[in-house]
Amino acid sequence: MSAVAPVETPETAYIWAGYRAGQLRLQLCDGCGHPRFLPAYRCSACGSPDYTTISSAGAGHVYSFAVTRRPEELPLIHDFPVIVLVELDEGVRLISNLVDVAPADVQIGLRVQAYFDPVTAEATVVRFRPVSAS
Amino acid sequence: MTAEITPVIAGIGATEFSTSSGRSNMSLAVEAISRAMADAGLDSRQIGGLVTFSVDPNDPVSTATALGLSELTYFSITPYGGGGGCASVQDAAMAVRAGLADVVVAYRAANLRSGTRYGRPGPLTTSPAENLYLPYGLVTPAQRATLLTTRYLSDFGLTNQDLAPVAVTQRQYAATNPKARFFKRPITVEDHQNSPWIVEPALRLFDCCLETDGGVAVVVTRADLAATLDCTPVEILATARAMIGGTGGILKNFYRPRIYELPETRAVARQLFDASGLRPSDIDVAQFYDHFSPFVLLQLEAFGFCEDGTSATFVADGQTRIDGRLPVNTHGGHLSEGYLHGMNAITEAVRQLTGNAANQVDSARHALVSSGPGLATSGLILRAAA
Repeated sequence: MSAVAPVETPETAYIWAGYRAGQLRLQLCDGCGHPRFLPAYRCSACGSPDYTTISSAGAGHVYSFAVTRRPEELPLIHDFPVIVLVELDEGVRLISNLVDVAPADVQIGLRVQAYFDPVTAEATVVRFRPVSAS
Repeated sequence: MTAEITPVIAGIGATEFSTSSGRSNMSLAVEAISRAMADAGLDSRQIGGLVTFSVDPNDPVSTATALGLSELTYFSITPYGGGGGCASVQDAAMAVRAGLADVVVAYRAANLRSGTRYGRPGPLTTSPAENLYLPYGLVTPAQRATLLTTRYLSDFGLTNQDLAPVAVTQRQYAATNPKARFFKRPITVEDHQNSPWIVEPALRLFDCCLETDGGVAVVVTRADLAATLDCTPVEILATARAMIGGTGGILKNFYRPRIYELPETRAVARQLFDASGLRPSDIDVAQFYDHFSPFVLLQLEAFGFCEDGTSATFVADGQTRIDGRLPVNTHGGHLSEGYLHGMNAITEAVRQLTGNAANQVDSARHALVSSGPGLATSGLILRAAA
């Protein structure tokens, strides 16, 4: 089944542009250093309107996950059945897919690494793979 | 200074709950509202206000027309779908208390199984957060609920099997409730564990609410007016709503220190107990919004009935049964009676406080009702007439 292409908005355009450029971009508050993944105009910790956009190293762990079984016709579930909530080492979380792992082997705490997957000519998404123990 | 107006629930009404009503959304709304008004001892033409909540196909203007009403002095649509059920009664109570209308009906009616199915993927949206989820296939409420539940179960060493007592207890209530979709059809823990996965590792079929066709309505009016009617009123003792920023939308609170802590529900609980002067130990029966079984556990904790991580044991020990410490979802809940977005939880609370419940709690005086957790939400404490 084909992927659902991202719908870019003024708030998220820098994130999608980052994926096309091979970067996982976060906002870092200039006032207190608090990082955030969801775009915002003010910091939830200190209220500062100023921030810097940085690139994450893309390393993190599985904070939670969901393996979709029904309904079976949902977009993407055959290709990418594991939806994962990743907590990056920078301290923010984001929704993605976890690949190269059997659904039964997914566990909270599993170390993962981001990679970038061009799903259409215009759109690239970020996905994650387990970091091999070797 | 004039005496303060006390808002009460004077009547309730509902249609049959089914999987295929064969009728329009509007005819369901009209039937539920008409039944509720008759239950209050009022004529439908006495309606002065209408309140529904978002994702109801029957807006107040078209509903007023269908009911043949000529003039309304209050109307609103409270937001956030299932989070707005108790808020619709709060809205009605505020309108009555403010003198904006004497009789306000809160209602909800829809073919949620044979028509637009609420549990299916919604339309593509351009909300800032939503478009960060859709490309990964995160499109249904059950998936979002699983992300919260998976982490909860893991943190407290639980599994999906620990959710079975919630589903089994509520199905037992439905089995003795003639209004319930699952009347006379109890289940066992084995039945729960044999039901198919919807989203692993948290939700099986019997952990999910029932897509249901139907309508429910609640009549809110002044206590002094209700006293002149042929009805048994229930006092609206406390109402609350709460939302907290930093989320990605309904059931998308992925960014909190602990994603399952339901801070909106905790804020509603604090407001309700502060306003009523009650404590959890004063509550005789609770109707928790159960779109998914684990949220019964999370709300037992968020409302202060159980320490965090202990609610599964509370339910497994029978404490939410009719003879337990806190009977919960005594109509069968959304898991087993029907899913009308929390409105049938409100009517069950009223039935308990007027002595008309199929599974009646002895001497029930205070009832707690919650709306959809995991989003901007609301709640009520209702009190039986003295």
